[in-house]
Amino acid sequence: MDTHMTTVLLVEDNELNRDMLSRRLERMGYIVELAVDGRDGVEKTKRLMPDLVLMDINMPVLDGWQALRLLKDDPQTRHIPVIALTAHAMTSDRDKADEIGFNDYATKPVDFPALVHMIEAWLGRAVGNPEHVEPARDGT
Amino acid sequence: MTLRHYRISGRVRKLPIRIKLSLLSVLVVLSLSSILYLSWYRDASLREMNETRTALMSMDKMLLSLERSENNFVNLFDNRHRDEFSETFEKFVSSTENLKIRFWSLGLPIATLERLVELTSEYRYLFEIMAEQLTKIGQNGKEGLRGELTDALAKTEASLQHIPTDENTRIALHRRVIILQLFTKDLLLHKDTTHVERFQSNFDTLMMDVANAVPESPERTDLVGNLHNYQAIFLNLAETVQQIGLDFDHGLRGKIAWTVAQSHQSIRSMTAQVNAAIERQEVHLNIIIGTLAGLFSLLFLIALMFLGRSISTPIREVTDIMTRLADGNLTVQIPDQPRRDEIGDMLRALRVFKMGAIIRRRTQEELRTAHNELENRVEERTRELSEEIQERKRAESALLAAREQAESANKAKSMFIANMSHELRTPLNAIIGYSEMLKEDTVDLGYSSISDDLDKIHSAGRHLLGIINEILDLSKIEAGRIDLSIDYFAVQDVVDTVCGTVRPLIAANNNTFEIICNPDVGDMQTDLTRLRQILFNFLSNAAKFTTDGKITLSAVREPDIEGDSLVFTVSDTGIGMSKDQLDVVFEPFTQADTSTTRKYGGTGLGLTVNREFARLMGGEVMVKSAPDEGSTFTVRLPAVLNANDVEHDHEHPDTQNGIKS
Repeated sequence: MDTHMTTVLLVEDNELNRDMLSRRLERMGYIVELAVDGRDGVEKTKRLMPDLVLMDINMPVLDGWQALRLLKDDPQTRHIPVIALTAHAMTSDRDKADEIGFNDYATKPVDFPALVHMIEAWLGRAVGNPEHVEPARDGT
Repeated sequence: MTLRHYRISGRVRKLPIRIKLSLLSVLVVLSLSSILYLSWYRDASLREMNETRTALMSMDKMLLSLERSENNFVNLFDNRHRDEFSETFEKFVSSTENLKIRFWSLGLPIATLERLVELTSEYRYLFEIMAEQLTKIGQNGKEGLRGELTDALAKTEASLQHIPTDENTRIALHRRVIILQLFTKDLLLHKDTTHVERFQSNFDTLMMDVANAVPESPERTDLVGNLHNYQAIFLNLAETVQQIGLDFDHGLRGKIAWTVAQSHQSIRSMTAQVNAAIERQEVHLNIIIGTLAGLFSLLFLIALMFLGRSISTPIREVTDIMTRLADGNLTVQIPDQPRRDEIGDMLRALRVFKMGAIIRRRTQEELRTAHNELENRVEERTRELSEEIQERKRAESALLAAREQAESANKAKSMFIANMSHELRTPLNAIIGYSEMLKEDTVDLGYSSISDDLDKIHSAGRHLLGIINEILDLSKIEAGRIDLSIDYFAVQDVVDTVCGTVRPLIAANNNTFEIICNPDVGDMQTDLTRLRQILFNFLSNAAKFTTDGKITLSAVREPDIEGDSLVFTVSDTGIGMSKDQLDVVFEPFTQADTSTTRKYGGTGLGLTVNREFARLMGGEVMVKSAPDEGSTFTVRLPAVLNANDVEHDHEHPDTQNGIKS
């Protein structure tokens, strides 16, 4: 897949994690946009219309749940796949992610090749038929 | 009051109410049936009268047909009409007989009918006579008097031929004889007696002419004889005709006409009588029925009124007594005169009730006294007791407060650890991520000497993260923060998944791996992720402590009345554990010894987490081991875990945001 034209918005409050993950993604050929908290993430999603959003859950101002709800309630951004980045996924978090409508989730520390695989699957899914492809969910 | 009592007791031994009601219903039934019967009778008699009127009309018609037959017989002289007359007459007679019976049953005057019978018998009689006379006359010129007349004429004409005289005289005489014959025809045709006188005068003239013109001779004597004979027959005929009556005013025919007219008259008068009777009967019966209905209704109302009063008044009074008794007024007098009806029964019952009430009241008063005494004693004792209880409660609440304090301190500790773990983890993620990134760079750039060191940083980070995660799990369990998520799945599937994950780990130490899982192990309902974690922990543990050996995983369903269990067993042929080690193997931070940690790695919390998860899921973990003989870890879980079986700790404040994970 041609990743040069693909824009990924990374919403992450921790500077080190943001830097590390963005650089690794850029190295894979994605255009990476950054947001520092939930509100920033929602605004940038609406403005930049990325192909995919990676969203941390624990963030100041607006947390990942609230930010996702805003994105999924807006018909303009509803179609953009959002992958949750959770630390040490607890059952409750995972269920909540499913319930609220995250398209997928990855556990931190991210298994980078798996994350890339997941992103590719969702992007393929976004242009193809989203109902019939089940990307790998097991991030560990 | 006295008046009421008098009424209630009543000197008369009253009839029971149900009998009164029965009598009333009998009255209603009787009146209704009599009115119905009268209506039926009215309709029936009116129908009867109408039939009578129709019968009278048909008799009038029969009379007319009798007249027709009579006329036909007279004019056509055909015996058929005579028979017809007789037949109709028979019918007429039987009709009159029927009518007579109807008249009797309807109570109509029978005199006119009897008159009619007389008149019609007369009619018949006259008709018979007339028929005889007509027969005597004969219809044509061959029978009866008319036949004789024809013969006499023929003889006269023959003797006229033989008389000694000239031709002219003979012709003149013959003309006169023919004139005589014309009178006969006129007589029969017109039935007029003037023709008889004219016949006589012409006959006299003819006789004189004979005497004058015909010389004395035997032939003349013969002619005269024949002529007299003719005359005699004619006169006989004339007399008979006269008897019959030449018109409807005279003779038999006159009589017949009168009789018939009288008959018609009497039928008409009878019809009028019947009509009048119909009208009278209808009005009469309607009046009777109306009066009867009114009378019965009135009677019924009066009876009902009396019955109502005779029932309701005593009932009201009984109710009065009962109300007062119920109010507790036991001095009410209950009249004791015997009555046979239900009121009497009620009064008797009331008397019994009153007696009972009096006894009850007396007993109640005694009881109340005893009760009051008892109550006083109880109150006293209660006061004493409550003081004791107060004392105890104070002690108890102090204890509770102490316990709550201890619990909340413990939870605060767990919370602190949970938060701390999160804070530790975030930089650790950066360390792991960057070390991975650097390793990628070194591989790309060919700095293989740094690569190993980076690996060490990376795996140390991973290890530290594992410890932190397990601490976090444990502290969450202790803080009551673990929520189970109930899934329904095939046991075979979870075994396959876990084995797929651990297979590389097991293979790394040159171990073989056996999986014993019958297809009939079936499905399970519990927290899938936790189960997976438990199995993974046991298996990775076994892989860690076993080299060149064998690791076995078995899943077995154990049926039970209270619900099946699933038993997962992980056994290895590894280093095993001593008895002392076994005792603390599930306690936190107690890896067999510190040297093992260095040699084998691991957090020392995996087994503790497993035990806690198994407990949460309603099950247990067990271990069997001996040094150098390997270890066998077993987890037994209920096959079906319901959401409401799961323990929840709701006492903890702020369950939503307390721990960031």
